[in-house]
Amino acid sequence: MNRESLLLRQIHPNFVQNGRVTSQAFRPSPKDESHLSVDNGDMVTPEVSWKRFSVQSENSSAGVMAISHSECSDCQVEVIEDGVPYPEHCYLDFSPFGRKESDRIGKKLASAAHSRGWLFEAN
Amino acid sequence: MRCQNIRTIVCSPLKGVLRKDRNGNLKSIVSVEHVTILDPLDVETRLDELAALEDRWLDGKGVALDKTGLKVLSEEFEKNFDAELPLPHIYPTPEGGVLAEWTLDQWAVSLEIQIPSQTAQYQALNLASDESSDLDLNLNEPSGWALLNESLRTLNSSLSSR
Repeated sequence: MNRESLLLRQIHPNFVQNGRVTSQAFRPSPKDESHLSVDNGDMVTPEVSWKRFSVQSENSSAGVMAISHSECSDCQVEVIEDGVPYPEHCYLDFSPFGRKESDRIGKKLASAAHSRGWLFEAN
Repeated sequence: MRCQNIRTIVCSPLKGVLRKDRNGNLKSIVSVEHVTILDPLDVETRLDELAALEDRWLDGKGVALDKTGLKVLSEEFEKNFDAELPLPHIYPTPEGGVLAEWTLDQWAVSLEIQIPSQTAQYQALNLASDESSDLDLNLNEPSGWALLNESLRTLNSSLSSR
């Protein structure tokens, strides 16, 4: 992974209104224990990432957006390549940040992802 | 007529004469007296949609939103939110609350509202300068709405004056 590597993020359909994606999609919720799951875009395409996620019956994704490794670094967010539960799985570590700072970072990452646009959209 | 699908964007209340089959299903529209075109970001419609969410709506997690609390929020929004300000995009939160978001040029603004308590956290972040402000608001009180309106008006007017 390098600074330009993209980190793929599944977007839940209820996190989209009128084509706009909420910043919530780019920060962990309290249940996520400060870890935001992403896939390493150097190892998997957005479409394959979406298919693997969506095949699980409880999961739903409107598509895939992405942020770059450098955009995370600019926000002081560490990218952890844990490879669990599958090889290309990574997470963004928000544990150093409180709720308000996490919200600010979510807004910055969402803005970067919006500028990049959808990498894959489900029909 | 009201739209039931959460992914439907624009709903148009319609008054007129409808023809139904013997089972009560809509067969055709005979005449239309009145159609109201709603704003795509109409808040009441969006909150109605969110009221349909059930527990586990977020990939097996996610708490259903309290319907009575959403109704109260919808009424208070209609009564207190400055109609001159842009409408927010509105999303459910995994904890059963509501997140309203505005994009005002370089400003990313959020208002996270707990349901049914109607307490809220406002945050405005300038994506270019990193300037930021946070407020705790009580939307049970008109003063909470007044502070929200004033905060948004300040950001919005700075854009208008350019």
